[in-house]
Amino acid sequence: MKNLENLTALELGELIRRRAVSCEEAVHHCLELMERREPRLSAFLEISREKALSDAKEMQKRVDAGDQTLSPLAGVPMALSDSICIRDLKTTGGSRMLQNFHPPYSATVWERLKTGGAVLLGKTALDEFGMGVSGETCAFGPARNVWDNRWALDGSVAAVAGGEAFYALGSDGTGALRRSAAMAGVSSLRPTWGTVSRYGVVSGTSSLEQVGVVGRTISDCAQVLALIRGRDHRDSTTSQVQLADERSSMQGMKIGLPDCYFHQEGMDPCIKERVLSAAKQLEGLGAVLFPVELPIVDLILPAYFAIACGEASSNLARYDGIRYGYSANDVENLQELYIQSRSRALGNQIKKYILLGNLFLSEKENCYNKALQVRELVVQGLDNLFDRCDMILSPVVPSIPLPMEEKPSQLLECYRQSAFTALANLAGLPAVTVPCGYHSEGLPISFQLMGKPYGEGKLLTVAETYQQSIGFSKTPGEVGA
Amino acid sequence: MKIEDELLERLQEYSRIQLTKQELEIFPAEVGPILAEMDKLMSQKTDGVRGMGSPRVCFNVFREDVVEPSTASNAILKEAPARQGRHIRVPKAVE
Amino acid sequence: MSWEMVAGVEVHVELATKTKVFCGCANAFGAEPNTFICPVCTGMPGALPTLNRQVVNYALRAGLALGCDISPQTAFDRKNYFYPDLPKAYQISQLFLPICQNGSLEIETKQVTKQIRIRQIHIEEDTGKLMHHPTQPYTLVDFNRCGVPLLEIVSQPDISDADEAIAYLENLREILLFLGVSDCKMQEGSLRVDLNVSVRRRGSKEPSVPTELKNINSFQAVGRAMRWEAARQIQVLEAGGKILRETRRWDDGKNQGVVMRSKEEAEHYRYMPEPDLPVMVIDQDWIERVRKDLPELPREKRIRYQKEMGISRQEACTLTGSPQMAVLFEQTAALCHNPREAAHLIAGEVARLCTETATRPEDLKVDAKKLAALVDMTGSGRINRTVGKEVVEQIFRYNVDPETYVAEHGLAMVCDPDVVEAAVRKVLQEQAKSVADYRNGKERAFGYLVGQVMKSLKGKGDPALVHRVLHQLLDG
Repeated sequence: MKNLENLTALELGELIRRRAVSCEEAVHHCLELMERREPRLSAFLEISREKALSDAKEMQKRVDAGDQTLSPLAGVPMALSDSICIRDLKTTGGSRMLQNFHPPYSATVWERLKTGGAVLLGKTALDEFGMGVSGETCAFGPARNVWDNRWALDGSVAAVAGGEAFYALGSDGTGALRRSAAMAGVSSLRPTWGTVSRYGVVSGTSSLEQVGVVGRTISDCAQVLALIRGRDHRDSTTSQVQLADERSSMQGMKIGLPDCYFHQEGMDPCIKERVLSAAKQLEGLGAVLFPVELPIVDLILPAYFAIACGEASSNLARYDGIRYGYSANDVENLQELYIQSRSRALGNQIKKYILLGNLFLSEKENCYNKALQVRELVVQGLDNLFDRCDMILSPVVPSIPLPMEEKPSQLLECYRQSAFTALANLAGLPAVTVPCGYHSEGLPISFQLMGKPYGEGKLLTVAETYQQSIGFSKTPGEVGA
Repeated sequence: MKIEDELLERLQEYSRIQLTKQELEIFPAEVGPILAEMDKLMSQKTDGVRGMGSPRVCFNVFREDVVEPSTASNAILKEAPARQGRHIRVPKAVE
Repeated sequence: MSWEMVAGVEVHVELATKTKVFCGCANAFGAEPNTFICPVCTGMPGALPTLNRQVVNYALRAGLALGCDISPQTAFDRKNYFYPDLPKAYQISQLFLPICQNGSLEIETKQVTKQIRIRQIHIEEDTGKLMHHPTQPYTLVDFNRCGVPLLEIVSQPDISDADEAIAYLENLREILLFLGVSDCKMQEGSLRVDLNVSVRRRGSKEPSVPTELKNINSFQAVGRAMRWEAARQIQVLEAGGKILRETRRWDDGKNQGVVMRSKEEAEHYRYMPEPDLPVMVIDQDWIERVRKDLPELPREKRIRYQKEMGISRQEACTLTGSPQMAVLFEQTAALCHNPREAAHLIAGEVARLCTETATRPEDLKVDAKKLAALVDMTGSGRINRTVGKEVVEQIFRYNVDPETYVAEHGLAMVCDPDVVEAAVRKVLQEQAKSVADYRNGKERAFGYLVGQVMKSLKGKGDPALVHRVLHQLLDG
């Protein structure tokens, strides 16, 4: 069998189109790697072995027939976070509450990928309802980092980082997708809020949530985005606005560096050094870098968190044991049905988000409402900021999080680790994470670029230019997997 | 902001969740630092600011009044934990 | 010590759109349980609401007809609480920015004519239906109704007695019917009424504590409930007690309100803006388009019928008893030569036939062209009124063509003077006693003789001619 491990999704797609590689070969390659690596990685909750092979066969027919409607990624095996509904397939959202749930509908993002020719390998693990640091709170066991399996990861990221899938879609409601990607040395792209449909995506949040793409390169991510984005009549918050994703020139690209991010307490010096070094390289490639101040920077994190908890308490209230999902059947009255079904089937962490959310929504001083007001001030402030610069560069995380077993509080950890990812959630900004080196302790490090709404084009310009110039490790094989 | 017992009791009721004894013991202390951050949030002046429920406000997105056949109704019923005929069954609320 | 009532009315109206408010499921009544459902209206994971444009149009229609200000920007909010008929565990409603505000409705009772102010109108989604088993400890849930669009119309507490409340409801219902936004059937649940009733000492400006009354199932029950509750409150206050904020369920059979829950204990709704739905911006153009398309309201019709067509107030009321009746009248009046005759016919005979046959207003299917032809046939003397009544019944029941029917049954009016004279002479001969009675001053005998002549002419005699000939031969 050909060694496809060093290929990007786009490269594989091209080989398939030219019929140098068959779709079935590609799937076999992935399935074989999954068999070897899954015991260590646990990225997948469900593997659709037979379906992947039969889909690959079908895809090959279309490739052979020269089907012009196929996308550049047709036939490329990929993974989908288990937050994304597929009709009649088990979709759990990472929760025991939905451990036997089979939705009678598919998410729009999946339908669009399928039309473009995606071949699904399986559904990946994720934080319960997408709310956690980076995958630890999955009720069925977290996925592990190929670089060091003491660290948990979002399953979509683990699958791509582990070479099992060529790209994946995941949920970025609390930034877990980007943080995981940063710790696993793969690229991620979080689109502008409202450009990708949330219909059929199981999530604790609404206004903070966007489906993101994980890939080996930013170019891979961009191609996937082109397939899934755009107005969906089933999601009223998707926009008619055309994404400005044309690439431009790196020359004179204005990149802001938020001082406060780099100087904040607890900022890991190694991460800081690597990110600033990457900034220097961007300068060398033609960008203009200068310090900037973020609007109301101290309140971005608490505002995002208050909204996350508030929305979660409301969005997750539908899980009541009545119409679907786990239902306690040893109860005598309605209230007990609610309490037992939810208390037994919801995980420890998600309960805390819900309780806090109800606190923030009900207190006389209503934090949730205050957070919405702060959001408005931040969004206005950003309008001004993006007049002066094209994008903001920052680290993705302030420090390497503690290994899974050592975490005293998931909740606090999630709060603190969201320091740099929160802004994109709060203000709906597009963001990319790009690998730029390694920590002294061995884990990969990435930098993050955040742009103005619909400004994906400039982010991609910078990220792609950087990746093309430095080259980068593509293979987890190097990690002795 | 601090979480007293009575408040925690009410929050569990709003959430229809019952924490275990251990969880109840650690919760107030665990969320203490976060609540301190919320106090900071509350101190921000926001007079005259209505607030945004989402990062971008969308205007006038409508669906036309044309029936979409309910083809998923049987599949939806299949997911229900307790049924009687085409009804979904729940234990009675205690009056 | 004299007391006065301070009351307000909250009406929930189911809108007659084709689809639900936030999904494309059919908005239909009476189907098999859980057939008009989808992932959105059953609150499945990842399902999202999409707003039905027609719901907004209907809300605007109602708001304009009730004299409201239209909010230039209006949005949805979530009302969070747990109940089995509420799949998402939140109801999408409008708290912060309702679509219409500050309207009013004029009412007239025997005592008073006044304006009842309308505080606001807002859009929200209906919940599912629960059926509690009478003896076993379970409840059955049907989500067909879940997501049906509702308008909530809230009055200010301007209502001072039960008659005013009923007048308010009757006017409101009539307007909504004629706007075509709802079929307003209390018995089917498309019109629901909650009351807020309080009392205070006459002349006092102090705020009074209202009790909420739910489960009012008819306009008459409104009266009973209000009077009962006012009496209860007066009793408590006169004994020195305090009125608690309560919600009571009205039991019409037992004529009493039973406490449901104290508002203090009420679920905290934790309102928040709905992030999954757009904000509605309603500009002047949109408002003008709706205003232009507003149908003539029943009150305006009644005034017009009386002023322009000389129709009696009583008949005008009957003719505006339903939108369908009004349409039938207006179409018939436009096609015939005598609108007043058309009014008599429809307000009299057609209305009577509807009652006799228990025909619902929406099932009224009478051909206006045929009615108009009938009106003209009577007006031109081709048939008399008695025959007219027979023919209108035939049109109502069997949709006959009046010309054909009259010809086939030989019902044309007899106006040949010779024939009439012969008939009169015959009757005078046969009815000697009545003739004598009449000549002795008994006026009623004349009527009897007219009847006998008509009988011999098989009801087709020209009444005027018969009268004339009879008088001639009797008096002359």
